[in-house]
Amino acid sequence: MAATVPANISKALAFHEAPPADLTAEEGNAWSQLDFFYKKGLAYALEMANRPQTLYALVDSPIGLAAWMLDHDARSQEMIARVFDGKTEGLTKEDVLENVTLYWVTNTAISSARLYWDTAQLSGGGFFDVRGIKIPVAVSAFADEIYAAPRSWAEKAYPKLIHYNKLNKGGHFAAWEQPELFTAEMRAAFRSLRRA
Amino acid sequence: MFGKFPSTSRGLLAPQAAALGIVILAAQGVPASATSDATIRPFKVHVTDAALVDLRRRIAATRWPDKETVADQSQGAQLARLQELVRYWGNGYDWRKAEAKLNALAQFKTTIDNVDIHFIHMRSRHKNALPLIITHGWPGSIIEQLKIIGPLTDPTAHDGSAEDAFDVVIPSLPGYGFSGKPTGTGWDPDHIARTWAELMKRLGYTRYVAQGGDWGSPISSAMARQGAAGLLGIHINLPATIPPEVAAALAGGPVPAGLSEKERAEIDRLMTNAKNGNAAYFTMMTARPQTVGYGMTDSPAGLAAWILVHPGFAQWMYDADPGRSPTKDDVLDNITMYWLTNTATSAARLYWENGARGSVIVATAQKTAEISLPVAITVFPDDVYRAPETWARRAYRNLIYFHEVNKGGHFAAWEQPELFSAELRAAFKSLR
Repeated sequence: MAATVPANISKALAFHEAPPADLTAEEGNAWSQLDFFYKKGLAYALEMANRPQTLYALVDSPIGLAAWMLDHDARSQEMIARVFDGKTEGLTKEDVLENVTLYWVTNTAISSARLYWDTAQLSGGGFFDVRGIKIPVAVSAFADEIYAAPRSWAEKAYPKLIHYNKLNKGGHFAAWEQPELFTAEMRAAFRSLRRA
Repeated sequence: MFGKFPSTSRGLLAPQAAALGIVILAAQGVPASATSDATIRPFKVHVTDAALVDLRRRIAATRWPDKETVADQSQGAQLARLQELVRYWGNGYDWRKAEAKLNALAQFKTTIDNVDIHFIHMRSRHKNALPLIITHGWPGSIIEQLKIIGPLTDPTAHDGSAEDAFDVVIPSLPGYGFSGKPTGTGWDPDHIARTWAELMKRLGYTRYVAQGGDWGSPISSAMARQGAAGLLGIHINLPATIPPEVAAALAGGPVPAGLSEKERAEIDRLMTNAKNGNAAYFTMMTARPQTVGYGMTDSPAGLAAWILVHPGFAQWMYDADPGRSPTKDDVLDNITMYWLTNTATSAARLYWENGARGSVIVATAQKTAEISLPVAITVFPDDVYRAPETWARRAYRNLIYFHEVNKGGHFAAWEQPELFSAELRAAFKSLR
């Protein structure tokens, strides 16, 4: 999930403005995904960034914990739900419950939520805002990610972009859902950095 | 006046509660599913022993997280304070006292648009008492209003005169307390306002007034905007008075020039509240009431923490300063009502229903320009928003009363019942 969103796009999204007229199809798709996320999907992150300690229900109720985790983002929830509907793509029921159970048995729902609070104390801009990274960066844009970073934005955000690839499947939990595809991306992404 | 009472029968048991082996409520009257008429049925609260045993068992088994990593409330409900309250909830608190208080009042249910509406209805013994419908909000309930019933209906016993008397109607919002839970969408403040108008009509009231804070404010305002038959005027705390240019500034735009000191101070306060994340709960319930509901429904401690996150509770001292704020028992009566009625999720849906309309304190969002009926406002100093009079006059063209008092907060009726009642007497005097 690359941080590539240009400042003017970030601002327009924050103020619920219309998208700039000159977006390419790929950029327009990213705009739509981000617009949806900011309007409908950001609430859990705002809650964790502002009041992580209030989420006592997540450490006292397995159902409360599972609901909170499965509702991370709408597309992930749909993709997880299809497994419970009997489809075999991506994760299994065991995968999903292993992760929820790991949070449960370690009692880490609240301590992990504090990462959002701690990050919010910094004035580092939004999660997807450009960070000014100077070293080599490789980006894999998965189709069902919260937003699929367009190549044009990635090139501007990362001056040393050594790899960019768009994948036609995989979402926010790409390594977990599509391990073969994800691993192939790692091989390709870092090839140029290996010693001869 | 109440229509015909049906013959008493027992056994109004919610099927889902029965399926869980926990019978939550038994009420006298006809099962709601059997009625589609306008009858008004007497109601008493009686929670089963099994439900109370189950609550105490869950409290005793609470699994706690580690302590917050800061020394204040900035990460949310602090562990030590919440543990103290929840332990008292499990070991010292007695719901039966709350039940007795409620059952000392005349309570009823009537079915409107297929949802059972529960309400308290207390008439004054004084002639020409002014009928008044009072609406609570989240995370409150009818528990907030219990202490004002005496002063409002029996003013001569509470520093008032017979001419100050009110008949009071205090409904539970749909999805809240002992009202039914809507199974479909559309129960936004406008719909609830129409429902309240129907309720007052069924009670035979042709001249009445309405009052509300929190969600009660947009609901009472919607009744005024809709021109509910018989409605003479409204009194609101937490009014929708933020002007458009100030709303734009709060959204990140430029701060308008020419503000008075008072207006500027209020903008600064609202910006600080926003920066401190005081509205995160609002955003979460607006976006995902169902997701946040599971934990609150399954964990008493989780429910208590989520309810206490409301900034209206931030300054409560519980028993440490009884003169300043309600007691632990007060706050637990309210939380326990949410628990026993399993309404954490259904109550949160009101935010989802409000959805795109947005803030309850922004004038344009609440269409205050469309209100021509008389409006009265009391500003309580510790509320989450303190409307400056200048903005109030812009928002409500027929503002008949505006008063800033020197104590009380978001839950003013609960915190300062005598003062609150005195405000209602003064606010509505000219409409009698």
